[in-house]
Amino acid sequence: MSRYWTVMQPIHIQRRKMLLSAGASALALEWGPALAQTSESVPPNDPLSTTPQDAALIVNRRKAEQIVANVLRGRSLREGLIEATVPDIAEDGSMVPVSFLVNCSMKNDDYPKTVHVIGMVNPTPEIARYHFTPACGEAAVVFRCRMHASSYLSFIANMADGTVGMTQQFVSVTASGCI
Amino acid sequence: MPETAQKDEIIVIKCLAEHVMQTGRRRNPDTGELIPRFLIERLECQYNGKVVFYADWFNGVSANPYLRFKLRAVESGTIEIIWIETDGTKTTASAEIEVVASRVN
Repeated sequence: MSRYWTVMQPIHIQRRKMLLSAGASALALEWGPALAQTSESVPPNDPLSTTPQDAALIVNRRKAEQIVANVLRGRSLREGLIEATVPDIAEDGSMVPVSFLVNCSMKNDDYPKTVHVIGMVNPTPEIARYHFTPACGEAAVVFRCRMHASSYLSFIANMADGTVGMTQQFVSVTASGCI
Repeated sequence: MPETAQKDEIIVIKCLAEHVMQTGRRRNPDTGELIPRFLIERLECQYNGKVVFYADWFNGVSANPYLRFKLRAVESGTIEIIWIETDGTKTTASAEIEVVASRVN
């Protein structure tokens, strides 16, 4: 606050200071209290502090984790049930080609009722749900999705017999696609 | 998709829709107003009138959504794809398939 002590001085000293000092300091005198207020509300410049963008990603990730938990409902995962192919790096987040394949016989109860695709930091984490029947012959899908930032994509296969399988693949996104 | 297939053969179906897939998060650059959400919310595949596969789509699906999936060829008939938009508009595309008995060696 010592920079703005002139506010407390009698008028004639203020005027003399304004005449002598550079324009920037005159501005500081005029806007002094306002600047002081904003500088107090800005978080300290340390690398661990979060920017508003980071905070939004954390909110999205919590939403996505909640959706994953709601789908899994505490069931244990079947190993190797679902395989997914994603690019390591996606230059354009608005078009990320992804594919998945569920390893099952597609007979009786051994088919996926639903496959969920979830982007772990997308503003709307649920990207797509695919519903299969034994008439599909093979549960394999290729499509393109949008991704907000570099993150995991979760593929969850919800089988008709009540078992569940999940795979998570990391995609580095160069340009955000969720705008 | 193929025009003919052997019985019990697994065929690949590819479909592409031309659609902006507005997420409801974009703003009009001139007025700054949010552009309302307008998506293809569901894709249905009917094989001879019976729904065999369907997809629910949300904001995260790209514009001009392309989809490739598989079906087991059981009998000759029509395979129909139905795209349903946010306002309920339905667009359909269909193709005929001829299923021949599998070759016996």
